[in-house]
Amino acid sequence: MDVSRRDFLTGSLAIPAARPCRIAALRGCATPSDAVQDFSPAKSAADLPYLSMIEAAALIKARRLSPVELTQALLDRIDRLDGNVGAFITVTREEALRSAREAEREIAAGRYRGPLHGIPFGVKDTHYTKGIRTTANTPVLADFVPGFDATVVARLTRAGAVLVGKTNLPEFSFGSAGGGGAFPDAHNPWNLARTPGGSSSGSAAALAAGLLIVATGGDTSGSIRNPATFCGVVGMKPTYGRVSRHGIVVISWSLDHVGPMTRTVADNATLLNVIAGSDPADDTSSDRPVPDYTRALRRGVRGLRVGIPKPPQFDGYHRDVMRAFEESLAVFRRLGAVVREVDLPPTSDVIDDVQQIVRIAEAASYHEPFLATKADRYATTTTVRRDLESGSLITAVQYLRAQKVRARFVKDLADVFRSLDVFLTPGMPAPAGEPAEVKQPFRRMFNVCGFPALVLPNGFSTTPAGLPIGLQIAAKPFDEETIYAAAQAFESATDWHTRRPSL
Amino acid sequence: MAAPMTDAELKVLMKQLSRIAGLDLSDERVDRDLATYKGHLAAIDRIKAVDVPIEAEPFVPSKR
Repeated sequence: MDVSRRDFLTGSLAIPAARPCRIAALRGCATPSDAVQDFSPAKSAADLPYLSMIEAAALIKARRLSPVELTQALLDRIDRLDGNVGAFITVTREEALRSAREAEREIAAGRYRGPLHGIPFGVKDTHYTKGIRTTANTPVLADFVPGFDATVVARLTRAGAVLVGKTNLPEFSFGSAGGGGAFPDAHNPWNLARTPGGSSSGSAAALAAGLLIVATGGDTSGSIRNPATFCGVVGMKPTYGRVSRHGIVVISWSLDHVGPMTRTVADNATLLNVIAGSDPADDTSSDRPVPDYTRALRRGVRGLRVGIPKPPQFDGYHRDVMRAFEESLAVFRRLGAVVREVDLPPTSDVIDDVQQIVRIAEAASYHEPFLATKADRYATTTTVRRDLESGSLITAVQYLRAQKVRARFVKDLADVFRSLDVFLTPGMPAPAGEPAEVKQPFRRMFNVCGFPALVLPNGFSTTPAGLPIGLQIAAKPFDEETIYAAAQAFESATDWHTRRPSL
Repeated sequence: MAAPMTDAELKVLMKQLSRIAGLDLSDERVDRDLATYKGHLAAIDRIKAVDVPIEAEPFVPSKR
């Protein structure tokens, strides 16, 4: 028998069908949790889409908010806004409401699974979802319906999260949004005429637009960090092997990473807790135990050894990006961190070339069956087929030469990081859609070495006005905890993450 | 050091390599792919300029 909303909800947050949610009614209710006490009484149903996962989880656990109400609020907002934002390729409306009702039943019966229970999420449309099309935004996979979930998807649904949809990306995750594909492009919620970045375009855009509570993305050349920066959200590319790649459409086996995308650092750490860990279906996944990343959030940064690149590494970077970066360094110094400039290894000068050759040779190998039988089905509006055909002509000796230099770079960078706790750079050299001719964007190098790197918002541009700017925090392999400690300290000292686009 | 290949020479090479790779690119596809392929070759040249000892191995250290 379905649980009625009235049966589910305790306290004074009962929500008759005809009336909007009145979170103002929380004040004066019996025994709110800490998170609920901090919750502003002025919020209404209109604010539900921008709840953090931690806020939503506290309300759901306390049965002050129904997962069905939250999911319906997001679906209504998607109906209203996604025609312009283009964050989704597939919205799993019926499945989402069914899962939300099931979550409501379980929680009402006392079977609360944890902070993801009843939380609406989205995944990049490269993540296999059993029985739900997975297109990678390409005509090549237009009819593909997987028979199993990606490990990341399975872990999220096992945690009780509610799948709302598959998010947009450029064809086969090649490049940034605006690159074309089988479906229309996604747009930046901060300025719909601008790119949201890519290739995890839709996940970032959906978070910024309040269409999802949390999301996942994939990062081979910066594809979590680029759109997270452009859309003003938090994106973590974990250490290679920290999160299983099983059941995800491949770009490049040795460069692909999967990671959480959220609006706050605490949400990001909580999501990584759920999706990280060894997977027998992915031989490259790490057997290292998964710590509780949220414990690091309280660590602070006093005495933290922060490295930044020496000049002229930032030549060509946008003025607003550098202003935000310098202000961010001042925040870290104020909080007690020790900042110093470091030299990068000489091999970093060719690391983008190394990434290019390794990526395209591996991608060409993955696509070999598609190129043999479906070459004419690649979108004519993208460069994917051209990239893959030319990548198919790279010889094994050329690929292995790149891998030798890669191995040397990883060793050299590890030596640099030995005397550092974190390494800071801007998230991107310029705001969304602005040109930047730079020597080193500090993006692909972290795919090449596999070290973890997170971006979070640290400002907005003035010329042009109103575009998000981001800060990148990188660390040693498997030290996501120090990244989260640094990111949380910065986020707590600033308010960039609280800004919302006007939609 | 060998002289740089002309575009015409590269196109012949691309046709032949594509046959070996099982793609058998048409002249039209070779024309479309040429600039990208030249970009890869330029990247490879920059990579080859990095000195690596004979003992270097193409395996990334993995601390799984």
